[in-house]
Amino acid sequence: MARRVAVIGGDAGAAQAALSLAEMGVEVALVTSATSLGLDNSVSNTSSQDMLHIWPLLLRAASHPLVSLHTSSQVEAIKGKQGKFTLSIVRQPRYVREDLCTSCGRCSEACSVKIRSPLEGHKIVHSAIHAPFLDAKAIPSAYYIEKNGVAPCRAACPLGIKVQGFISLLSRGKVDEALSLINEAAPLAGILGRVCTHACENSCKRAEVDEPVFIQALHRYAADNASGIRYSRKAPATPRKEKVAIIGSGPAGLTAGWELARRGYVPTIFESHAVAGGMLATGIPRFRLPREVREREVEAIKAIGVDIKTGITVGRDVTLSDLKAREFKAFFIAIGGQKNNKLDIPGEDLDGVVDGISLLFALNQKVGVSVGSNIVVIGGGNSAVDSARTAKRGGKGTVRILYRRTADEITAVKEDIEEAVKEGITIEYLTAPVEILGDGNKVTGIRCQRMRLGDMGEDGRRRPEPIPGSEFVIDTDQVVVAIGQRPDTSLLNIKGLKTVSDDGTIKVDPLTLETNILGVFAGGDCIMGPNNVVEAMAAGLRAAESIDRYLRGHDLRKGRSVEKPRAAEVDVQEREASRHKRAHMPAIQYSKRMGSFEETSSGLPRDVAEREAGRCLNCALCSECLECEEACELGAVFHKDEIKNIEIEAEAIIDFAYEDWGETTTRRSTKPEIFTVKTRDNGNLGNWLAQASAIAMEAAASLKLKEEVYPAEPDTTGEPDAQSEPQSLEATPGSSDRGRIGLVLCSCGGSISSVIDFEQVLREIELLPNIYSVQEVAQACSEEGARQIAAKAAESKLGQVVLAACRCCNLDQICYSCTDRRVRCQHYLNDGLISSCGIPVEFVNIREQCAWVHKDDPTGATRKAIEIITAGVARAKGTTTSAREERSLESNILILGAGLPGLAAANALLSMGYSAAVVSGPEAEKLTKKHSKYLDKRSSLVKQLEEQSIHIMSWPQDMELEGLAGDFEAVLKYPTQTNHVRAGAVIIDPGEIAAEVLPENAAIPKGSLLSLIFPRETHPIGMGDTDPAMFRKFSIRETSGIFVVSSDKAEPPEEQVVKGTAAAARAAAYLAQGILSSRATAIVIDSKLCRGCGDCAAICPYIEMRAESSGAASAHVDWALCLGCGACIARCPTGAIFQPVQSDKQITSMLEALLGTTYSASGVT
Amino acid sequence: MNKPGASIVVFACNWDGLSCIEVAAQKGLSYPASVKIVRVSCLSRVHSGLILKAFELGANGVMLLGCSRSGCHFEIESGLIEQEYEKTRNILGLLGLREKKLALIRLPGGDGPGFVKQVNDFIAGIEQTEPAAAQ
Repeated sequence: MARRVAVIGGDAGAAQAALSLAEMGVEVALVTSATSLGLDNSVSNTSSQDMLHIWPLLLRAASHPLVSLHTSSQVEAIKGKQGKFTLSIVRQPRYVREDLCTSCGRCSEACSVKIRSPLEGHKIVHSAIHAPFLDAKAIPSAYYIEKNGVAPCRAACPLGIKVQGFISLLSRGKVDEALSLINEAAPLAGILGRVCTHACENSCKRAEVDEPVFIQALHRYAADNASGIRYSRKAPATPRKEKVAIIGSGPAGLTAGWELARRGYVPTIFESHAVAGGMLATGIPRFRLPREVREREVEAIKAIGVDIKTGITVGRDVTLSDLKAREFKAFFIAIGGQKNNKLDIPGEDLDGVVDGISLLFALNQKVGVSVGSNIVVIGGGNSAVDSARTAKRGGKGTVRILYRRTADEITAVKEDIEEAVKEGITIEYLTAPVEILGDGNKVTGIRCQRMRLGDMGEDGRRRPEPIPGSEFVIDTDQVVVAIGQRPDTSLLNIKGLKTVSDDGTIKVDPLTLETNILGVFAGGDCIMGPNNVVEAMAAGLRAAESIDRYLRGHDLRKGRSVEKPRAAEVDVQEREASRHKRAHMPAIQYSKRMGSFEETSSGLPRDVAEREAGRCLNCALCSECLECEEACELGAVFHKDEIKNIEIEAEAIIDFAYEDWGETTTRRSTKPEIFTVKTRDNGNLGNWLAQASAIAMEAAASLKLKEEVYPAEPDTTGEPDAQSEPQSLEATPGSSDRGRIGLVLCSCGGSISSVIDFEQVLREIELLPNIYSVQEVAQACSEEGARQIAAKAAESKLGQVVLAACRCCNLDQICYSCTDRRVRCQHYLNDGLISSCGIPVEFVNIREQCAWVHKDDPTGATRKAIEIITAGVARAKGTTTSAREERSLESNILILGAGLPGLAAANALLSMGYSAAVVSGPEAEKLTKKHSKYLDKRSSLVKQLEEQSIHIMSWPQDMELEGLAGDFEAVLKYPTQTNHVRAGAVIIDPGEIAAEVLPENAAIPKGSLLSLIFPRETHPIGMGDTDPAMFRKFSIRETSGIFVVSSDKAEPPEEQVVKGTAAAARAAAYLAQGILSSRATAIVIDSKLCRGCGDCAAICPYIEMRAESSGAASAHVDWALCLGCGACIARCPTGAIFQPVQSDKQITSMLEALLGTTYSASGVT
Repeated sequence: MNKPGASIVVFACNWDGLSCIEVAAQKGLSYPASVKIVRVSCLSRVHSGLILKAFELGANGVMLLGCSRSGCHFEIESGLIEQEYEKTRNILGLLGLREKKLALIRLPGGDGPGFVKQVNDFIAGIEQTEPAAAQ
């Protein structure tokens, strides 16, 4: 079993440490609080060039099979001790699945939210769902969503409507989508958009800039302008057979019915009136809520299966027991309030005194109702204002409202009061009736008194108290009492139903709305007293949830709360909004309103609505409009993602994020066993990476891996293993004929297929000779995609596959353009096709190089796709499969130079179970007292070596270095003896030995070990920022096995030790491969064609000219050393040099395909 | 089928060269679809024979896109590529082809906008002197 180390950090250093460990065969958990690995700001002056050069390292580390990468993960606590640590990790949600997202960006285009973020000194605008870095590639490249909790508007909404979501959709003109989003939470949008008391607007943060967003008008705009109401859910619920009775078709009853129907039930609503809607129909005047709007909504609710039976009074026409006998299993009482509250003053029974509800009902539902000419309305609620405005329209006289408190306490909606005043209604604040006066029969006036506000009452409002001697009389012929209603449960005839004594409301559990009778729930005004539409609807939703749980036998309370969600903190300044006036609701002129019940306001026009929607500050960042989920055909967007707690076990911990710990640093630093990287070498990437390698080596050594065998881990990014196992090709049926080629097109979740016409591509490619199958997959970089490709390959007995996707090569390298998806693609295909079936895959990039870059030219993009696929087929046909060469790596390491780096390297390697031979260089200078620190360190390192019976050899009189990479042999000649040392790797410290082996730049014989070391390997470990050799090793991996360290005795001894340990780490990782196998890019020299001119050797340090027995010279190269640049091929005059992956023949056949000269079958030239 | 604009072959080195092309696409930039990319391990792999082959097959222009002079991934001396480039330009001259039809462009890695500008300028230069190529 592999051993595990946790590496905390997400920068290049952490990646280097993780990769070093993984290459030594250790499992690594790489934990970073960032969304992706990055170069990090630990190294100053990082340019995008640095990022590019370090990219292969990051990608190699993240995609190594032994590395598991935990992003957005914060280490909260570390328990245990060296050998057995447990890390508690909190992973923040990303909302996008890393295993599926291809970062195609379609979600980002669909996103309705635009956010401004600072980037390098200026602000850029981006979507709420975006790539981890706004300006650079990332690993993983999977997008993530920026969320900021629950927007204040949504938090305030009793229905939890995604207010910001529907507004953001409206800002992009998506009206149908906006209404659907509203209707995900609640029905009756046309009604709410007109009469809701809009708590959302009251909490709108825009008020801190200028005025709140006109949310209600936008709600109405969505309802009025969408193409229709679609209440059914996208995924229909399983039908439920239990019958549910709802008593009352007001907003609470309708909403409960709606929600139950959406959950699969067929509820029945019993309504005593002839018309459905409760107060919506009888209590809200038509000029505020037109009949058609209400009817449209009620019809839509009926359409999803809610049965509404009007004209039936439960308790009189049918009893609860009757309904129980008819198999109704649950009941929801939503009867509202029917009994009008009384003023309890003399004269209340005079003719001409009416209650507000009766007046509204009469004027709303009947014709030919007359009103008084001098009307007084008593009350301060919405009904009072509605009654006054209705009465004003119904007659020609004066209307005044008496309210006993001030304008600040009035509960009616502010805008309606303003309208009422503009319509000519007077409001007498701090005025209360004392007695209604009459002529014995009919009302003639009302005696009032002035009030003032006294102490705070129980309801949290200041109590009005009369001003003595302030009485006065108002002449009136009609008094409308609108001071609220209370429920009348006696009508229900339900035995034992508990009510609250002082207001007659039904007693319920506020969380579940259960009454004291099992299976009977109640909500709305009948439990709250007079309230508003939106609260009643919220009760309907709550009741539906309870009833559903009740009928399913689930816990009614679990996971529920009466608390509203906490609104997100929003820094309004940060949003940098400039002032824009709130939209104005167009309305009929005041003069034209009288005598008419036509709707007063006409709704926002489109341009105004879209502009108003644009005023939204996007408090929660992501608006959860879910357009991204809709856009992603791969199902990668995942809004339900949540915080996860993970525990990771590790034997050792390396902490690169030490400085990020902040206040918790103390907790962590109490564990000295954790390998902590405290200092960062500013500006020098090489040193930083050396430090990372060194610490990885220390961690590996701490695991005491001695005696264990390090398994050679295959690199997932590597060349198809099949080529190194020719026997498997023979064994697999169907792979015998390389000429049978299958084409696979990856649509990349629509990112490619939305631009390129796949049908045309398939039609034309099918006509090519050698093409035996064509296939389209949705995502080649997924296990499912690879499975589909393998199945088709087997079915069609293919010998090769050409995959047109985003990956562009099948080489054993990671270049600057590669991505985690491309590596994943190769990985899955390796597992499912290449190594298991021996079927090689040729890749062509039709995503970036075709669909993306020619997005505006689909015809051209399609044509070009056909050409580059044809070129890919040509390349596949031209591929020659030469058997891969292999050689075992010797596990001994030769260390030349016994300075601090060499000694430290030897110690580190010994602790890992490798054997090492150390050869000391000559003493170059007299070390004096000023080198005491150096000398102390050196003697302690020497002592450590001696304890392990390693004796340092002195520099020989003569040394010969022979052999091939991975299996060198050093012959050390001393006066009395000759030592032979075989080594798989060499660590060399030129500073220690240069004087000995390189007298004044003497010519180094080609092909010798030293020739390998000095021309190319002149970039010692831990040097420089822009070191091509260092970067090259990340992309094509180590070739020679020769590791050069710089030693400078002036450096602090610790730094020298770090460099040596780093060299040891790299040597150990190299040797852990066990077997060295040739790269696909390595050249082959045909000695029969070579005429020995030496032009290739003149430009390549690895090609040597050897004299053949015939006397002629010919070029030779160790395949292990060839970097694969191909420069020698261009120099060779006889064509003796051949590179299987890019021969002249392959390149010319690709040119033919690209320039459209290979095929004419389809009439294309 | 009418080709929209001059047909261009870009021999791009696998490292900085290819990264420019990738970044151009990722940044949402565009260039004509008649620009064809041939990826090679290093520009030093490209010899005059391959360039001339591209012209023989009907390319209106050939661009060699590689790393900056000191940035070669394989540390190949920049002189090698320049020699080949000069040699091929001379041959093109002898063949009566305009030397402007071959360009050697060196860009730092990831310079997508730089590549798009270079390739568009290159096409414009060819189409100006050779209107037939533009079609």
